Amino acid sequence: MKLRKIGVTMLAAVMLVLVFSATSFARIKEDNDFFTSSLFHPDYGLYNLSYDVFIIEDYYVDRRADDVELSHHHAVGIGKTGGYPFKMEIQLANVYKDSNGTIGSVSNLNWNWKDRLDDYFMDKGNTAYGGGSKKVFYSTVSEKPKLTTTSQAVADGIIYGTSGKITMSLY
Amino acid sequence: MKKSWIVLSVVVVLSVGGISYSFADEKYSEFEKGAEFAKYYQKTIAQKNNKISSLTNESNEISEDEILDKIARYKAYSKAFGIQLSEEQAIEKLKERKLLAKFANEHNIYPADKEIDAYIKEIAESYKSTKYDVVEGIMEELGIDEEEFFFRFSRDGYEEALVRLKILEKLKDENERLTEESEAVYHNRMLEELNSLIKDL
Repeated sequence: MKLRKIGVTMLAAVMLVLVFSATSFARIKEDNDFFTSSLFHPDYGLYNLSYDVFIIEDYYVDRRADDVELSHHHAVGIGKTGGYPFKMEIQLANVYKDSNGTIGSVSNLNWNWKDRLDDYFMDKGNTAYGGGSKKVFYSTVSEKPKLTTTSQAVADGIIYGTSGKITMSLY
Repeated sequence: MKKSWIVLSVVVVLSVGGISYSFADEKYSEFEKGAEFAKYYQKTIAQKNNKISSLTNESNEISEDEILDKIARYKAYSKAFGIQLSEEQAIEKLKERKLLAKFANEHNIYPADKEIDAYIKEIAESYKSTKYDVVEGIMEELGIDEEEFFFRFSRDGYEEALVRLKILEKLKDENERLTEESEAVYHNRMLEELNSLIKDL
């Protein structure tokens, strides 16, 4: 009887682990990881655009025991966008969330920091695309917020591709 | 004993639901878009005789089949992805394709079949590691495999892309990269040169 109970408990635990794995591995990638956005162009067909996402710099101030301040943060995508018969861009948008919900977001439009990223280029054809932030976000819980980067491959200024997501833990 | 089974049942239901949600979410809609694209493409091709006679084709170098195929792709794209592409744009794009092909032939830079195959092969190989649900939907609806999708269904587009890249190479040979100009900025400047060339042609 006891053995059966242990078996049932173990089975339940395995199922829960499976759920967690299926949802997390499907969508989450880590910092410094390879990432791809696909684009189906009406004239030229499918292209897979590869790039890396880096957290360049992040800085926190623990204001109080129950409050975390994200004062300075940069996450960018770096990839080769120059080898196509059309103008290719990567659009990135960053959303910062703590367990209570969204605490801030930054898109390409807010990004004016590209010239300081040369050291990260592995290839002279590489281009960096932001998200970065000098804004101050406040998390209402003691845990540091998570960063979710949404990316889109854009050709000739038109979004022909669909978006991909990377979620990263900030340290 | 009873309690354990109730707990186990709840966990199983949550697990199955969670796993199927994680696979269905985001993925299904992309697949559907691809399938819708393929459906409308086939529908337009099937209406061949009704439509093609009303289209203006000033250039004898473009066949009716080419026009129909391009219009079918543009119509399907508009329907499936919500980006409006007109019949006139399709014909203009075909004219561009012909002009650039002529230019490339005249300058002996038109890619050989082997080179076109190698270019497509590289893209097809990249697809093996990064699948895209839109493409999966197109292939399923058209009843074709990856080989047919890349080397037959998409061939004209890739061939045109390679012709454009060959002309870009020629333009780069004639226009040096400026000091402090990144490769990406240089490439975009040459794309603008290519657009000027198309206007001149």
